[in-house]
Amino acid sequence: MSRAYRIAVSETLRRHVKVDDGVQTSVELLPILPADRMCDLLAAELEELGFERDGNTATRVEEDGTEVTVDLEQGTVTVRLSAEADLELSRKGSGSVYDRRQAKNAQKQLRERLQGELERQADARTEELRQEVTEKLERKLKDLQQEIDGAVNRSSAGALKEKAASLGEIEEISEDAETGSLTIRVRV
Amino acid sequence: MNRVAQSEFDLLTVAKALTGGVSAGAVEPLLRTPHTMAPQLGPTSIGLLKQILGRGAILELGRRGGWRPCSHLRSLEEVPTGRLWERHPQPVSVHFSALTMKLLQWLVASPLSVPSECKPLKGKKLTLGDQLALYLSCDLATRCELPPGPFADSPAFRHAPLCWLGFPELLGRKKPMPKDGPPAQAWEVLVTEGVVLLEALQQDLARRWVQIERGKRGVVKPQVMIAIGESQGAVLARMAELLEHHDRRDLMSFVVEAAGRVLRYRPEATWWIGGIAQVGTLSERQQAFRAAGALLEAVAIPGRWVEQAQGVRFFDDDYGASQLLLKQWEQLGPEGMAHAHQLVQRLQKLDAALGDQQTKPTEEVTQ
Repeated sequence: MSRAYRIAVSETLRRHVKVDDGVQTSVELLPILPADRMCDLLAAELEELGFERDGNTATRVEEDGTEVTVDLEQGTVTVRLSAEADLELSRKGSGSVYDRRQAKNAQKQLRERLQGELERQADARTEELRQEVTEKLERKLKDLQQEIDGAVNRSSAGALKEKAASLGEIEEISEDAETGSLTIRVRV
Repeated sequence: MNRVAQSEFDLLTVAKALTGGVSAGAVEPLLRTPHTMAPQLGPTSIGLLKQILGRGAILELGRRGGWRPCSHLRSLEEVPTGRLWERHPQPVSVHFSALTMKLLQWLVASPLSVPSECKPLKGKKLTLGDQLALYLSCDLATRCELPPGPFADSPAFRHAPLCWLGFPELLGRKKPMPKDGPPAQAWEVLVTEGVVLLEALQQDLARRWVQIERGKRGVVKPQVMIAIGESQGAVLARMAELLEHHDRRDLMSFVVEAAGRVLRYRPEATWWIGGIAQVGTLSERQQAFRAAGALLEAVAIPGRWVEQAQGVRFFDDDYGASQLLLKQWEQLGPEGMAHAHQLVQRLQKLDAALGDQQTKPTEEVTQ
């Protein structure tokens, strides 16, 4: 008469995961004044928006960790968000064999199966975390694009005023905030 | 009457389909299922094949655009106008090597509708005739709506610059064209001896590129769009570099014509990216959106040439060549160029990857 042997295995997976997502775009600065001056004007506008200038880059880190970097020389805007998490997953499994000599083999198979399941679970958690990051970033982008566009437009307007002042005496400046049009009357 | 074996008949029928003698629909069942091929052809079949390729290739080049009276460069000063055979009165030899025979056998013997069962077609040293036969095969595959796998996985097709020029979405869908691309020798053959082919195929290439752009609306996976866009960008950049080197910038007119047709009704950015699923990472989606605008970005190359051409005076040596470029540019024009630039910017904006569900394409682009 054969006797059944019960095998119980417990597996734990500990992993530190880091996910990130980001987008990059370029800003088009009109060459109204020399490139250095245009960069300075844009940097000043960005500083008004909470950016910190460090050489040729202006960076702002938001409360949720979103990092917005503007490369003033290259004219690129990079938005990145990353998240980290410590995963600790455990799983238990059991099986039975009828021959004691097969116990070791069965235990090994069970362990491998549990490890595979834990790997899949960890991947799913990582993907969830990645999705959270992407969703957070998505919510930001629309406003951020408008903010950057606004800063570029204001710096272009500032450059036009400077250019006009260098041409002669400014008699009148009229700005339409709705359409963004700017009329400068200069006496040369 | 000539009598040939069944397998030889199949091969000759496919050769006729490539050169427009038989409709694509008539050979589709032949291409989809495998057929046994005799190891070699008999003398009657060889004679018939030579006839089909010799006469058919010329006829097909005529049908695909060679008939159209137009102007192309002979030298920087000389710009003859007329049909292909009027511009090139001296006979041009197009040699088909053993690879063309292998290609025909491969088309008949492979079950092209089951990519996993098809062996890739090998071949590296391609003659001009081989490139033309491979190009026509890609076109036949597209017309028969065959799966791209067997063609995209075959080194012979991947080594043919003419195939990349006409079918970047077919060959690059899974694996984009690498930066170094097809062998330099094949490119060199195409832009030196092959200028007659390129002249004849300008209209056909424009038609293909319009088709590719229209097809982008149906692309769902961002990775596929990235692969297509990267292939388009790589092939046009390589082609432009070579044409600039050989002073044959007029042979990029198909890009201008295709862009002109696509942008005629000033479509919105969603016309290209409306089908892309809002899944995956934002960076991947943004990369896909950029890739979708590959043709629109590439228009800047002839745009740059046109700027240079505008500065050429009537007594300069390259006045004729410059005037030709300016005439070709009229198909797109400054408004078209400005719209292309706006679209590229729109596709590269931070919020482009979010999709714009409110803006639907309102106008259809017609050929």
